[in-house]
Amino acid sequence: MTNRSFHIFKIVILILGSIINFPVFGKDFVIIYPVLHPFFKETSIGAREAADRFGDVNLTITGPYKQDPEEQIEIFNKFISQGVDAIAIGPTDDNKLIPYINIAIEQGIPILCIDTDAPESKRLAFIGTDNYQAGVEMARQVSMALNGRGKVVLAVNTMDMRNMIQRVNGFSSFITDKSEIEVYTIVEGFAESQKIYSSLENIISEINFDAIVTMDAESGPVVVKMWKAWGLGIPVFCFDDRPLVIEGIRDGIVNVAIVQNQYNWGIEAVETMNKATEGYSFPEFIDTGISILTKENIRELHKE
Amino acid sequence: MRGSFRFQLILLFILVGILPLIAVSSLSYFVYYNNIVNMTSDTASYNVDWVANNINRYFQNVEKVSTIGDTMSVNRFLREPEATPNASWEILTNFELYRNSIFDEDSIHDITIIGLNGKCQSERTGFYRIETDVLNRDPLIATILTSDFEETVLAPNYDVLFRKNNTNPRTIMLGAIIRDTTTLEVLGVIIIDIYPEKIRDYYLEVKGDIIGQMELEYEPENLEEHAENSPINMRALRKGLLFFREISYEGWFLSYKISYNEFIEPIRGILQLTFVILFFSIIIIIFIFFFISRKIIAPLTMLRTRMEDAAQGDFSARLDVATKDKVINTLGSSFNKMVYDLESLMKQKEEEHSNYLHAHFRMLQQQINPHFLYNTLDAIIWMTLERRNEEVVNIVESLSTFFRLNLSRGEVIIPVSDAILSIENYLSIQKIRYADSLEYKIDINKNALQGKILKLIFQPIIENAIYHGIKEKGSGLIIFNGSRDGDSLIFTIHDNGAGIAKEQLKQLKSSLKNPVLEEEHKAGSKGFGLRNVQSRIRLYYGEQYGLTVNGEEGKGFSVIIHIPWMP
Repeated sequence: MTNRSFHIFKIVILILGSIINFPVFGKDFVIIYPVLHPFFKETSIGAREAADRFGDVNLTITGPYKQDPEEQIEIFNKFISQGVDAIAIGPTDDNKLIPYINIAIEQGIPILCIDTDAPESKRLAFIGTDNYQAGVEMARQVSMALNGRGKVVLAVNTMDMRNMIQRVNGFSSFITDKSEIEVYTIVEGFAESQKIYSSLENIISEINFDAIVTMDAESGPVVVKMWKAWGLGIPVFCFDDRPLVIEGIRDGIVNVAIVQNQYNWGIEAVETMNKATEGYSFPEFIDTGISILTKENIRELHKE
Repeated sequence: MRGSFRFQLILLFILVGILPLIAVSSLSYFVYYNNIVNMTSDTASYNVDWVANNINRYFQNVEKVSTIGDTMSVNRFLREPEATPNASWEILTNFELYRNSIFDEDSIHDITIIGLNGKCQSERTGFYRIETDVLNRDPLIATILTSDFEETVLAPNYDVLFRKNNTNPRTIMLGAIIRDTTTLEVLGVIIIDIYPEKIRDYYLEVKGDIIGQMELEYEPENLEEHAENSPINMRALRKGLLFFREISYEGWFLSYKISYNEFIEPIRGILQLTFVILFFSIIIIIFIFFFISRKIIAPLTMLRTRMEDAAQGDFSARLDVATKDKVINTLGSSFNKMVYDLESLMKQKEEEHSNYLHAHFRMLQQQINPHFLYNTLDAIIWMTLERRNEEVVNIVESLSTFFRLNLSRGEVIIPVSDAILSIENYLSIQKIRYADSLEYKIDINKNALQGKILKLIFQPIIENAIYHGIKEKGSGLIIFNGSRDGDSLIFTIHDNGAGIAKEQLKQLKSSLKNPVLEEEHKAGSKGFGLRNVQSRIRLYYGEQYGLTVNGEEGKGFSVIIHIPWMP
């Protein structure tokens, strides 16, 4: 079948499809996560619901199994060469991804960022949390709990990702400006939770500190579990709503969890991709907001 | 009477119609009831068995947690007195693995390992230590430690002491001893907190919608009431059914309560249907009753009414028999024939009686005349012989007028004025006969003259006054008065003649009371005229009218005539 006759066939099927309202060949939208992590399950739910509402959207959700910028770029390019209609991506390393995003934009494929941004690229919009502000909010909660004094340890899975850097920057700026809290160290996992464990293990046995603050979905559960194994008894502050974190709030281990609205990322991603392909306008930053979970409000916000 | 007859009949109808229906309905209701109870019991016993088996299987599954106790990390955790975070980490990892391996991890709230050295590792609240005396005082740990080798204990929500904080939800606890893997020395216990309602919910969900309530109960209250040896105990309680099924832990039962209302639901319809049928049956019976009532009872009622009428003398009563019912028809025509016969008989009898009265009346009337006529004719003869021609003319003239008036063209009733005129003629005849020895005075009120009266009433009385009063004395005065008094006419005839002896007056009064004229009473005998008049007045006017007599020896005699006013 030649390329031309395929296109004719495609048009015929499209017409037939629209007549019987069955999307055989609709818009091809793609969502690429930084890593295939259960944290993004809610995003997928939101995205699929939105795609089902449109009816003529073929949605592909994918990402690397391990946090790996190279692999993510490979996946991204594969879809660009396939000629999909739009892509929403959470860049694992935005600096490495910039040129490919720009190429895609030049080819006329709308590219959006979700979860974490690549502002230097020509991406059309960012959907997600204002990560700098989220970091500030985290710092405010820690400062409140510790009465503005003390020594804290920060745990971050990877500092490659822009959103992590933004959160840590927001956190640090508030802590240095508005409190006397000392950030003892930043424990980095380099995308491996085992590394957070071993780094923290050393710190726990070496010094006394007043709180552990985690900045991402991966490190939170590790810290909660370590707290249980060591019987740490100091406040823990977490990012994102992993089950161990939620349970930790119920059991009084986790003081505060700052939770992002992953579900809305999916909805906004699909809706914005649709707007981009149809030529409608949309803002460059779509803030999905955060919630602050504590033992007091966990019953309302998170049903058991 | 009429109402009660109908009422009794309709009551009978309803009883005959409704009683079998009630009997059949209640019988079928009880049959259904028993069937439903049996069916419900069978199903419930199956269900409770099913759930109990699953719960046993569930616990078998959960019991695998004790294998965690066999791991090296637990051994290390429990043997080393100081904190062993790496071992704890491994234990926590094992807890996670265990959770992921069992079927419904949601039902498990927490898993805790408690060492005899006071070290505790909880899945939820993490690592902590408890004092040894707390350990010794804890009732659950004591129970677990005294349990048999490799036995698992299931305990209700004890007030346990081993917890780090007491905000634990309502759970039941499965506990087992942890031994050293090699030496089998007791190192501690493992306790799993289970949400009982989650187990139940889970299995009921799998089983589908069943009525009643299932509950895991520890030593339930009314267990003693049930037979020990029966594997599944059932008892029909007043409020429903209660089943107990022993599960594999001592003292634990799965109770299954089905309230009466829940299983009676299907037969409630039958009950309602019965009432609807009863209601319609009563209506139909009432309709049938009114139909039959019109066909049978109405003619019967009419028959009775007519019979009552006939009994009271109304023989014109006839029954209109227009029913197809043979019995009613025959009854009606027989009644009609009977009444007709009775009526003819009565008419005949009345006719005979009136004939008799008439004859009697005429006879009485005829008794009057001759006897006066003979006397007068005697007098005429006597006067003719004496050549008192002028007087003879007068007497014959008077006699002629008297008879003309008395004959009165055959009428029985004549005007009072004619009667008075007749008496005047009669008296004038007698005056001629008795000359100066007889005086009389007639004073009749004008209003009395316009009435009517039976003829020949006054003449016998005046004759009586003359013959038995004045003639006996020699001379005398007769006073004849009359007037109308309302509906009555009252005449008084008084003479001042010989009067009447007391004995005789008494006899006369009694004979006037019963003035039957018999053969032996001869005309002209004393009181004959009075009795004759009395008889005729009573025959003609009725018993309440008649004569009243009074008198005294040597002083006179008087008669009062009382008759109704007839215009």
